[in-house]
Amino acid sequence: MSDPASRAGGPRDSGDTDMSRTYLSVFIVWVLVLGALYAFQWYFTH
Amino acid sequence: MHWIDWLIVGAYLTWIVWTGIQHTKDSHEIEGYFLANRSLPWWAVGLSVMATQLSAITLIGTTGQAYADGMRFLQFYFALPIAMIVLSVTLVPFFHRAHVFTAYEYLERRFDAKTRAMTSLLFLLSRGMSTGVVISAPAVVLSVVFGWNFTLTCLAIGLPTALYTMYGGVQAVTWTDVKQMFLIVGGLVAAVIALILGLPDGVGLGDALHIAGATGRMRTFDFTFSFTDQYTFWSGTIAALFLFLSYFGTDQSQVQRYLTAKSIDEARSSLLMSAYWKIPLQALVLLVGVLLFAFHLFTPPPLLFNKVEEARVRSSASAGELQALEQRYESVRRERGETARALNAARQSGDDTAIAAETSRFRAAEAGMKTLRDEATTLVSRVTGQRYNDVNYVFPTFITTYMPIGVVGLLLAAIFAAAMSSIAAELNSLSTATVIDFYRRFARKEASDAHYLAVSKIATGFWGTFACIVAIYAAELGSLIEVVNRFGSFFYGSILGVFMLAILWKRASGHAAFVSLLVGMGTVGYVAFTTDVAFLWLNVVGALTVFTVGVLLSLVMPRQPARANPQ
Repeated sequence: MSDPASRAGGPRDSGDTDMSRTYLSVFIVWVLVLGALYAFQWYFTH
Repeated sequence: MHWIDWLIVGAYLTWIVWTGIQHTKDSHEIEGYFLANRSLPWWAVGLSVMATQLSAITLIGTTGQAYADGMRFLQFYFALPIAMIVLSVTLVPFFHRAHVFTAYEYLERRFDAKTRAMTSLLFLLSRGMSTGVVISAPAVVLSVVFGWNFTLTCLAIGLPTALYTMYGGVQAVTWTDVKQMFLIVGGLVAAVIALILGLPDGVGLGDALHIAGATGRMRTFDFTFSFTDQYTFWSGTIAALFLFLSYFGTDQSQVQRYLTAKSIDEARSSLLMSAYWKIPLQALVLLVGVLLFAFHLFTPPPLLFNKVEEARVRSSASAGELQALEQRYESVRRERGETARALNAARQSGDDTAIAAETSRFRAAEAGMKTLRDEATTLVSRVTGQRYNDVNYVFPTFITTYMPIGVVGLLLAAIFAAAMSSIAAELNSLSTATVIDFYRRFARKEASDAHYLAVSKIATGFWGTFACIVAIYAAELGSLIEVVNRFGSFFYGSILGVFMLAILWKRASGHAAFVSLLVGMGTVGYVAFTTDVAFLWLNVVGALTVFTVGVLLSLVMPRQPARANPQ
């Protein structure tokens, strides 16, 4: 088995791309889902 | 149960075992058996991650919890998407680049063998016992509601799962998880539709949710800050973040799922699938519980859903007390139904004064119902001498009493699927940790792949048998299982602390990590036994204690020779 240390700090391989935009979209969807749940709660408790 | 429902459940079990065993041919060597040769697509891994986390306890217990308490439990999952982002950035690439089989293997490369062995042993102890609980908890409920033999129910859940996991390895686990996930979601949607159709004329879905909202059951957000309350916005976003980081980042039953992905990006995408879908899916599960509450406003619920325990009370010296409670219950139940209808009529009329008055009457009737049900469950506990939770029987009783032929079989198959998908992943990960972290590391360092594969299958069979035995004797082992589960909550946060130390603090040594792990677990145990702090916060205590102690120790202890550093 190869030493992971030699690869861990190495350059990104083909299956390791920058996913910052995906993380941002997850965060935005998270905020929207929480917002929708809050609106849902408000609507059905008033 | 009708023969058609038996046929559906039987067909499901046969289909799932057949699907699993078919993957035996894909598992000729140990990397294929445990990691599918790191070849699986992100969507299959993502569905497997979600199926593993969604057990039968979720379907039965969480719907019951929502029946009694509403949507509040959803807050528990609020931090999950953030945890998935953090893990995608940190641990996922480390594990993939390190080409490890287990999360704990990485700790030896970073620290030393004893830290790896300790964390892996803690995983084996707690996960081995909890797999038994994952089998026994639904088996207890199903055997009571359907009148099945408890031991046979445990074996019907545990043995087929052990069989296909043993032969097919992780490929079998993942591809059966994919099918089971669709069955579970299909079952939940069928339950929601059946409940909506079961509402009386003039009461639609919106009306039902409004009436449930009048009792507070539609309250999802609780912004109270409290270290002793389990389900608040703050415990769900701060304390649960540590729990999810630990569960998805350091628990082998989850880590192994995404180690099977084709690439780092595919592993990340598999976790992010849960980030998108876990909260809506959990909301759907809780919605079933809230709709069950609405359904039973108009369709009389029994005072006790568990007929076995009810019969025990009826044949005891306290039978008179139960009869008196039932007489009071009948009038309170009728009054609650009438006030619910009156509230619905007032809402439809749009008269604010009438709505306020009927809401007040309905709440009073609901409070009366709750008091009576609490008295009844206390009576059961007193007669049986055991803690008793009646809400676990609400959803299965609904299935068997009100569902049409065919749908009963479908929903039962969904409950079996939920249990089996979790058990399979756990057996597979228990076998991996046993073989990779102990057998191959300490007992037989050099052997052929065929030898390790054979040992891995034996290990899977052993853990399957062990889990079934724990499940069958769960009632007798009750207090022991509770101790083990509590013990598990002691080390979840602490193990996360060790991984934080490995990644965030370059100077941390193996001795410092090992000692700080022990200190962290001791601290969590002390806090748990001497305070009322809710268990979610124990994860924060454990992680921060281990990290802080580890940093301080690494500053005062002599430095060990450098090991592979992930940074």
